[in-house]
Formats: sequence, structure tokens, C-alpha cells
Amino acid sequence: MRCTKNIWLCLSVIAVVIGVIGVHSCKKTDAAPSAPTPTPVSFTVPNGWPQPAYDFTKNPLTQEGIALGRALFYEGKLSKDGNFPCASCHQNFAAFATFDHNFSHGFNNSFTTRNAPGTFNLAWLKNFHYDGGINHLDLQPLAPITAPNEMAETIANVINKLQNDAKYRQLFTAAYGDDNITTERMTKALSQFMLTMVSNNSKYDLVKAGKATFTLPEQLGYDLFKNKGCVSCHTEPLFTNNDYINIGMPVDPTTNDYGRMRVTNNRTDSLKFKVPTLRNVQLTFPYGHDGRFTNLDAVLEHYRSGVVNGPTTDARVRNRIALSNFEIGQIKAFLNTLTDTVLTKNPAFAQP
Amino acid sequence: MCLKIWGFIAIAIITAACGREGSGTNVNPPAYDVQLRFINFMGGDTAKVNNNYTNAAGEVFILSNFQYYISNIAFYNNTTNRWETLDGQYYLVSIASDSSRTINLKVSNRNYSQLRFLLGVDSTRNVSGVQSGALDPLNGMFWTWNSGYIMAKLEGRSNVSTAPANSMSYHIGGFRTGENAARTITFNLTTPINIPTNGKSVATLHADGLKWFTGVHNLRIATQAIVHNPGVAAMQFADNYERMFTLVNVQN
Repeated sequence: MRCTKNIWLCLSVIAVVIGVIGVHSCKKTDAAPSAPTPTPVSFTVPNGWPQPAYDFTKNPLTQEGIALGRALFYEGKLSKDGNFPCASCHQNFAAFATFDHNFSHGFNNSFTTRNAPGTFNLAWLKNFHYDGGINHLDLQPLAPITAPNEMAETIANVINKLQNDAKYRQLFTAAYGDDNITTERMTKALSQFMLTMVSNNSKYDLVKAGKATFTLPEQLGYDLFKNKGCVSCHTEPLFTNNDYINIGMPVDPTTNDYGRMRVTNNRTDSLKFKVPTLRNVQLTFPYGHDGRFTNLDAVLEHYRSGVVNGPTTDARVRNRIALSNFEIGQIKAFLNTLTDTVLTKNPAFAQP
Repeated sequence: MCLKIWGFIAIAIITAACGREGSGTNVNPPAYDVQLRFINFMGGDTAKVNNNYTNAAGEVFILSNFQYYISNIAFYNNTTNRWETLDGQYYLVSIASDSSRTINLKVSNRNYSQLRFLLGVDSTRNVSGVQSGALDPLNGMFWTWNSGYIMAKLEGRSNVSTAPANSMSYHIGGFRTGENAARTITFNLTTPINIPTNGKSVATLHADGLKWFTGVHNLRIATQAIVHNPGVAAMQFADNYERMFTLVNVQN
């Protein structure tokens, strides 16, 4: 064992193992379990990635918990009329964003007011939504479930519907030991499933691992991506720094969405939106918090000529970013290397 | 060399883990019964759904809902000179549920001279993910789009309201610095709690919903009938409802 190099990793692993043994050895009067114990699943942090923000000790992954979360993710009963499961807006083939839609469809012919993001690499996010209003992954599903223009349900109705479904009583029992169906168990199972959606198998990742090489345009695009400053917000390896930035998109008077300010009530946060990841960006068009950019050309054109300066516009884009058409082509070539077809084709994430 | 270190750590952890449940501590197990009884009022009248009430500004409203969280309940013991805080216990007192207005507690001592509680939910539980029991978001006291608990709700209708359907809807919450609508309320007990053998002490409190409109800030339904966000208006209501409780008596 290499004690010197990975001492903290070794220490923590051994501590967890010993801790589990220790706790078990202390228990004296536990009755026989009523259901088989769920099978633990370990979460692997890809090489060179930061530690996750999600606290797995509060919601340890299990095969049965993930399976329950997967069933719930594709379950129409989470919506008022049965037509809007999570997966209706978070589509597997679109890296779990909504394919080719600026806004997503909701209950009763309604539209959302923001572009659906992909639900991958969520373990590294501390806050959710473009305004960061949701402070924990386990709380995130409650927003679309209760939004009148999304799933339009009440939490109490959802729990009631699941309690009356023998399939879910069985799935909850498998995951948690009994068929007590609660909000906490439901959203934690959804978290478990979504947490397993780790996107780290793009060509970019293969190149970083020394298993592939960029073509010349991809390499030139990567160099430009770093030299033009894109990387300062779209930071590797997650391709977001999880900050809130005003990139000079003027407010849309039909949605009046001022982003982060709604949450902080702070004027200096006006028109700031969360920096989205660029992983799988090829699949998650259109772009921008309201999907106003139809394609990558439109996004890059915005940085080149469309930035509208206001009081909170970020200093890095105020003077716009000088880009030739040739350079835009190279950057797009690089961005396309961030597509992860292992994620989109993984049968573990498909409708059960 | 390394294995020796691991072995030492292993023994240390097992010892620590097993020691947690040991009996060598000097804190008494919570064995004595105290009951908190909340009676909801609107001014001089008992609060009832569908009744008319008049606030300090003379505005009449029909009450439909009145509920609030009680948490972080603590009792001060004169002998130990310590507050005994009942951690992890959260109660939603609701006008819709008679049973919710009686809170049964277990404490470690018989004698207490002060009572303290938080009207609302502490910031820790506002940032700790999904919760169960009284804090289950399905109770309708949680903002799903801007994570955080509604500390207290007062709802109804009033002809002076300019909101749709003449609604009056005060969902008061917010936990961040400068927006924290939870309020700590402390009572010196003129009759101290002195829990009898084989019995319980009962502290009765009145909560007066009309205090939401006056006390620190004079607030009117006509100018602000809806508050559904953390912020300035919520803080003004919180400053007022901080004074809505009266300790009526302690019966031992």
C-alpha cells in the first residue's frame, strides 16, 4: 500500500470500512431485517476531477435506490395528468436536456420559461436552476413537480399516487426496507439515479487520458478555447465554474427573467445566470438560459458582436471577444469533442 | 509500519464508536413530561377559520389559514444554569389541526425557570436538503423554487385587498443573513416549571394573529396583501409576529 502518496484517501477508506465494522459490532439487539439489505454502489470520482459537492453519506447509493430513482424519473404519475415525467424534458438522447427546444412543454399546453439543462454531473453542483435558487439536489425535483407550467402536481398527490401503486410499494421496500413512501425517500431515490449520470467519456476525456488525439481543428479550437478566455468560466474538467455571470444578454420583455437577483434580492445580481457546463453541448441546443441562441454559431456570434453592456455585465465579455470565422469553426470542432455517447447510449439510464 | 498505524486507527475508531452509547455521561435522560399548549387568537377572539376579524388599521378580513413552525425549544434550569435545547424537534402548529396545537416534550430535569423557542425553522435545516415529518415539503410550508421554509402563514380574504380574488396571503420566510424571518422568543416563567412526580407541567401560550399587522411596523392589507418571498416585507411581518405570543400560565 502506498501510504505516503494517497494517505488521506487510504485513511478515509479504511476509516469507513472500520467504521461500518465497528458500528455493526456494537449493535446488540437488532431484530432480523424484514427485507433484504440493499446492495451498496460506490461512486467513482473520475481521475483529476474535484470531490463532489453532494454528501453521499446522507444518501448512500444502492442498486435498489438507483432502480427506484430510475423508475420515478420515467414515471408519469409524478405529473398531474400523467404526461410529464421528468424524462419528458430531460431526454436521454439529448444528454438529458430537451432536444431542439428553447422551452419545454408542460401541463395543459404550457411552456417553461427557461431552457432545460442536462441532468448529468449533478454530484458536483451545489445549487440548481439558472438562478441557483435550489440549494440541494434532493430538493430539486420538487420544483418541476409543483410548477403549474411543468408537472403541475402537489407533492401530497404524488406521494398518494405512489402509495397506491403496488409496483412502487415493492420498489420502495427493496430500496429502504419498508413500503413507507415519503417525500424524502422519493427525492433521494431520484437523486441516486441522477447522481449516477456521470459524463466523462467524451473524446476530450479520451484525449486527456492519452487514449486518443485531437484532429488539427479540434486542437486549434482547444487552444483558442483557453486563449480567448472561455475557460475562465467554462472551467475544466466540468466545463463550468458554477458561478453566476451576466454575459450581456438583454432581458427578454416577455419573460422578464432577471436570474440570480430573484433569489438574492440583490441588484448586483441582476441578469446573472449560472454558467452552464459545455459537456454534451452539441446535443443540448438551443443555448442560453432562455434558449434564445439556436445554435453554437449564434452563441459565438453573441460573444463576438452581440454583448449588450449593462451595470452587471461581466468584465470578461464587456469588450466582446475577437473571433474570426475560422476561429469560430475551430472552437466548434473542439466543443463537439465534449459529446459523450456513452452517456446517451448507456442502457442503465434508459426508460426501464 | 503502515499497517501498525491502520491498526491503531481501527482500534481507536471502534472504541469511539462503541463509547457513544456508554452510560458514563452526566446528562440525565429526558424522562419528565412538559406540554406546550398553543391557543390561536385574533385580538380578543379565538381564531377560527371563516370568521371575520379586524386588524389595527381597521381592515376586515376573513381568516382561512394560520400556521407556524415551533422549533429549537429550550428550557433554562436554575440549578445547572444551563439551557436544555430539544434538538431535532420541529412542530407545525396549524389552525386546521387541533392536535397540532399540543406539543408533548420530554426533558431531563424537573425544574425550569425560562422557556425559549424559535418561531420558524433554523437556517441549518433550510440548507440540509429534503426533510421528513413536520418539515416534509408536502406540508406546503416550503418554497420549491427558492429553497427554504415558510416560517409562518396567515391567509384569508379582504375587501381592501387589491390582489386577485381579494386574497390576503402572507407566507413569511427567508433564512439568509438580513432576510431571516425566524424569531427566537423567550419567556421568564413567573410560575416556574416544577414537574410533579408521575405528572406533567403544562405551559399555555396564546398566539395572536392580529399582532402581525402592528407592534413594530404598521402594515396594511390594502397596501400589501401578498407576501410570498423572503425580503423586506417578510422581515416586517416577522418583526411583528415575534411579539404575537403571550405565556398565559404554567400548571404543574
